[in-house]
Amino acid sequence: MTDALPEDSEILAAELAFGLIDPADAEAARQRLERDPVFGAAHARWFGYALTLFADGAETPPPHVWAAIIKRLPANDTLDRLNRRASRWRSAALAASVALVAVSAGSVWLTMQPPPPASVRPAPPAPMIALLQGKTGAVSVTFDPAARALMLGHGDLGLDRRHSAQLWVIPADGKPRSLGLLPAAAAGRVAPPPGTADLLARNAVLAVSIEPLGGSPTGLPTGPVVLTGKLAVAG
Amino acid sequence: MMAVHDMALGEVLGEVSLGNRDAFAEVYRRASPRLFALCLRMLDTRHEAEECLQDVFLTVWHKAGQFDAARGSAMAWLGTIARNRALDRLRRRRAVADDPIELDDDIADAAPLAEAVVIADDEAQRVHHCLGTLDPGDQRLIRTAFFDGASYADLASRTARPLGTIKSRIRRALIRLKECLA
Repeated sequence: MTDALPEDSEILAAELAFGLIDPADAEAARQRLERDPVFGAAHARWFGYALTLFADGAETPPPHVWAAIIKRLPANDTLDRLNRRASRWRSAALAASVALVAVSAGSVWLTMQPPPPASVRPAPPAPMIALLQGKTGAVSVTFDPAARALMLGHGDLGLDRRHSAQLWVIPADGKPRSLGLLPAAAAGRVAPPPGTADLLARNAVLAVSIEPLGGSPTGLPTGPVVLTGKLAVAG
Repeated sequence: MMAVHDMALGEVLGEVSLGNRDAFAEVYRRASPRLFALCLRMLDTRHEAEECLQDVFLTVWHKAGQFDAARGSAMAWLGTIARNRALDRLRRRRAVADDPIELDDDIADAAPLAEAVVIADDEAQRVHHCLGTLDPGDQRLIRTAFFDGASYADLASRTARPLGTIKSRIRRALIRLKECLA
């Protein structure tokens, strides 16, 4: 046991875990949980004992409880979470690139971006639509499953010449797949890369991240996610 | 990416903090029976326990990033949330129990402290054993604190004992428990 606490602190942690402390004093003890990891660990240990003693039962809740929870989840916290995830991807990408440099001095940079759009034309009406919003600008995405075509429209995203805006689809597994770069023009049409068309379903999250010119070198977002939205059936 | 059902519960919570709804469903699948049982124990009606469980998982969705594996198990973290949400409900309807607690040791305990459950592992057996070494009245006080959110002051009033007496009595019991568990 990592019992570096003096006895009175240990007992305080136990009192807090069992709920014995009067509310006025409990607040100070709870603040100590944040500041003092050893105290926090002691509290968690005692709370674990309390659960073992008093909450060993198990009963499967009825299915409508889960349905009600899902209904109450917010729809608008995606941007913050994707950026948290992007920072994790960034660390993974850094580790991977260090490993790559270690094995090959002359590394080959493979970009898997789709070619730039050959033509620019206005977006026709199509079955799936998403409006991606965030701090900078907005992007509209229309997907026509029959034609397997993505129509993209956007305003000024405030990009400099050294960065590209990359579009991603993030299905329920949370793993982003690139849909290619946003065309430099305000509107454009691209074919979804192989394997991604089936992911463009209702409620799939779309996101735009800011990447090095030419797109993410890792296949995952490496820069901040600036816009998100969800696909919905048009009309 | 590793499938969420192969991850430890704490890692699944990490995925939840990043907005992975599959991971959220996995936490629910693994933890909801125990947390629901806890809500049922603390609240009067199934309806309230179901609403409590909803509150618990919405809290999990928003605060999963605050779970820190260095500070205890994921189940203890989830249990803390469940107990706190249940206590919120008890307090909101001002229905915190205030019925008297009998401390006479020779009275048979109608509701034994240790749940009649299959004790799964050695650690749980040890915790149950150590609690069993305490005076039955002390066991009852600790149990009441946990389930009713009864503080020292509440316990003193419900046992009609002076606050100082109750405090020192429970503290002695906690020290005995700590020594037994060490």
